[in-house]
Amino acid sequence: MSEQPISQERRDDLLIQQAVCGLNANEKREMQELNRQFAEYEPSFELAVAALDLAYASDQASQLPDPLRHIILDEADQFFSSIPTQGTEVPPRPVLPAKPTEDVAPRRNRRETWWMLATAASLLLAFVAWYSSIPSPPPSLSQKLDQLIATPGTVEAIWKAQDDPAATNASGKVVWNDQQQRGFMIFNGMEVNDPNVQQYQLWIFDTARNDELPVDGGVFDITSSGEVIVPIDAKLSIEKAKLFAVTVERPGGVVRSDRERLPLLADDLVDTGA
Amino acid sequence: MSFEQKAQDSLLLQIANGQKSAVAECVDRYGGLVWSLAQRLTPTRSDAEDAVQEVFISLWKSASRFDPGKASEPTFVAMVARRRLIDFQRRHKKFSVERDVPQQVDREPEAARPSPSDALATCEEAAQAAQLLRELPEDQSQAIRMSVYDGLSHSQIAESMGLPLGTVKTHIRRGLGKLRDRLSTITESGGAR
Repeated sequence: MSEQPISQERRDDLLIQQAVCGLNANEKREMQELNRQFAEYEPSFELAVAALDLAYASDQASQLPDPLRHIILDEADQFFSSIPTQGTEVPPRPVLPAKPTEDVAPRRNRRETWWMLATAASLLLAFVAWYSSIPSPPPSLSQKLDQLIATPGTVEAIWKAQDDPAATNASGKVVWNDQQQRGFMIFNGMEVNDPNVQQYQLWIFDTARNDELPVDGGVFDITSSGEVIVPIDAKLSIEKAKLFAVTVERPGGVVRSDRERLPLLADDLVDTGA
Repeated sequence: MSFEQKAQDSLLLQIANGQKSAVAECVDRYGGLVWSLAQRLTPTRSDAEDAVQEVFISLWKSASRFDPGKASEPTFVAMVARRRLIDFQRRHKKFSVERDVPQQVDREPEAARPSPSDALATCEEAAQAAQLLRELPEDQSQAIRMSVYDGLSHSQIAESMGLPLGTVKTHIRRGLGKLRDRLSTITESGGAR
């Protein structure tokens, strides 16, 4: 094998390290600098390392534990159901026939005229049908919240601030209905988050599930220090909610929280009396 | 196998095309591989469980990027898995270099060991990697195993093997370089399965 210049060897070492265990910020900068020095493209070692991983795994009889397999499949269901389905048909907007002008509309024979009238009439009917099918404006979050509070079976609990700076001045409550699988969080004075840095995530503890695996209630942002209403987006069906917890997570949320930052809890669920 | 056939057989591409029925099959086919990797590259079982979930979410997201012309599907899964496991470890600041140097383990296949999934066993890249590990000089092979399989730093390997740090780096560079060249030949000839 021919001897390589030192810096090229260093680049290979960094490429290997990148494939095996990743690079820190300094190493990334160093690699960028080396890449500038060597115009020639150097393929990564990722494929080689992956092949070694495969060789190792094919030599084992490793099997995914069954409970973990179920969790992964549940999460896959959540993931794919959260992706908007393509091809949702939007009714085409009807086009009304333009009014012919003297200049561009020559005399038409009777057949043409009847055809135009029939087309115009059908378009008009289509327009009326389309127009009448436009739903009235949806109720606001506040109205939806009021509706849910007035629904039998709805429970609510006051947020209890925990030892976290995000909740220093926070108050509010959570409202939930097991039958409808719907709910809302109401916050006042909660710290506004920068979604590029961190986001809040709700966790719902269900009496029917292990407390180690609360249900993801959705990732959300607090955009104002005033009152903020956030709909709950439970990723799995809740049989009977018993506790709600808000954690601070990285953007996009996590599959399982380490609960390092837990600003709010709500556990004294009471019936709204509807 | 033709490119079209490989694309047709790919579970990831089926998933990317909205065939949810392929999800469970994908988890069953590659679950063992990802679990094996996670157990090796994370310090605790609990971390491994969390990391495996992240790997699969990442796989669903990147399914459409799988290109059967560049690597086999098991290799692509292994690449995505290691990337995510590295991210996971860095986020949790428990990178494996903090682990103790393990005892030497004989990883030669055992006759009585249950056979792995067909998808991995028939993967040509895996076969080439295993073959190369057998062909390489013992020091090179051992240095690669300790780096890739045990997650040890070059310094830890040097200490464990009683070799200068530069020698360890050279062993790993040369060994992985040979494997990379060999795999690029397979890929160019369309042999990745």
